[in-house]
Amino acid sequence: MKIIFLNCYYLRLKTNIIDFFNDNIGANLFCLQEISSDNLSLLSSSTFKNFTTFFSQTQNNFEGYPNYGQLVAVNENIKITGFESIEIFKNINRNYGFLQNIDLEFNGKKYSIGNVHGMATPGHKNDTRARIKQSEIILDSYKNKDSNKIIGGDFNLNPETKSIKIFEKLGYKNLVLEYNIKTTRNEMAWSEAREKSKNRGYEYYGKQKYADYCFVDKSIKVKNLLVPEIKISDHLPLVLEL
Amino acid sequence: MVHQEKIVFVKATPTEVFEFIDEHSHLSSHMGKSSWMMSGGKMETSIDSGHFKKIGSHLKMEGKVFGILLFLDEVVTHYDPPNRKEWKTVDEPRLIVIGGYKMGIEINKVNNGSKVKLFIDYQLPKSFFIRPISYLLGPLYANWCLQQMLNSIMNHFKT
Repeated sequence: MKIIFLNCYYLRLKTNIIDFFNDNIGANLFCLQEISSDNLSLLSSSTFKNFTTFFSQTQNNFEGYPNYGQLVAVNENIKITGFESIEIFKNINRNYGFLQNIDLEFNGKKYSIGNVHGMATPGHKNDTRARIKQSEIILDSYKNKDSNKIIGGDFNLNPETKSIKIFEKLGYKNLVLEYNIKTTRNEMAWSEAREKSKNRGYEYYGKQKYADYCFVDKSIKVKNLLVPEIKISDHLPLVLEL
Repeated sequence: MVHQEKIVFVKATPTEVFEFIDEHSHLSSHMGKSSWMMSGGKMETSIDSGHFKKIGSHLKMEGKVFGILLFLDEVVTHYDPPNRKEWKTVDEPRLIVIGGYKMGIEINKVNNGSKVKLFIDYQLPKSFFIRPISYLLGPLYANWCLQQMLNSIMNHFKT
């Protein structure tokens, strides 16, 4: 099974990212963050036309602007047995983050796969009460499932945080750590952070190298986790092969 | 216009899901119960002879919150079992935090189940004075309504 996790940066690099999807169209699952409703229409009618798509809206926008959210796209050949969006944080009136969980069967085994988009603010990616709570909600959602569990996406967290360590403490393999991944971001992210600091008064937290993770049950045999250093977004894709 | 949507997968055929959601009380029961989101108030529902199961059929709700009269009149605008049903408010509803709206449900068969999408497109209230409140609370209220409807569907078809 091949699963791709990617924060799509609202498809600002549309040609590059669609080329990447098309090059990897043999993947069984795409777990995406920062997709707009416009992008969804485009992708559903072309690249993902042989996929079942589940879009969870994370941001409300007024007329004239697209709505943003997370997307799970599952190849039509895979048997889906469940899907649910679980709210992991809520900003007062506009912005949500979800654990999108999809249950499916593949080669006679049951899997539960989570697509996470964690709280982006504050920009430092260290622990906050809300971020720890977010991790607890995610882990609680899986504690009673008897399936093989895979949880990935943009957690907006540094690797040494308690919010990440609790996944490891509860027995999940942190594949970004195990595969010695050097970064899940690229120069686009870092130059934008510098620009925001210089011109728009945002606080600058230095060159943050991590945001994205993939956790799996210890029982799952992983063939590979690739994080190709390509310029398709301000995040790098996580390509998991089982 | 503000758009909000929610999606879920249930282990039931589109026909089974549609039959469930077509019974208006299954989706609107949260409005008839006292809750914090309704500020302790609740609304009474009445429907016409079309039972809200054909285009042009009306459903009305009326109630009070903090002594303020709430009222809405909805009409079915799209009826295509087992895949789609839409309804919208007639004139400006008195709901304080949101103005006129269109709601709907889309049901698609996926494997041995159904992908169910609920959505709302709503306007801010026309009253200039209420708009700041609506800007803050409207998304919360609309999200709550959709989640209550979704919970009703998920609980019914829970395996």
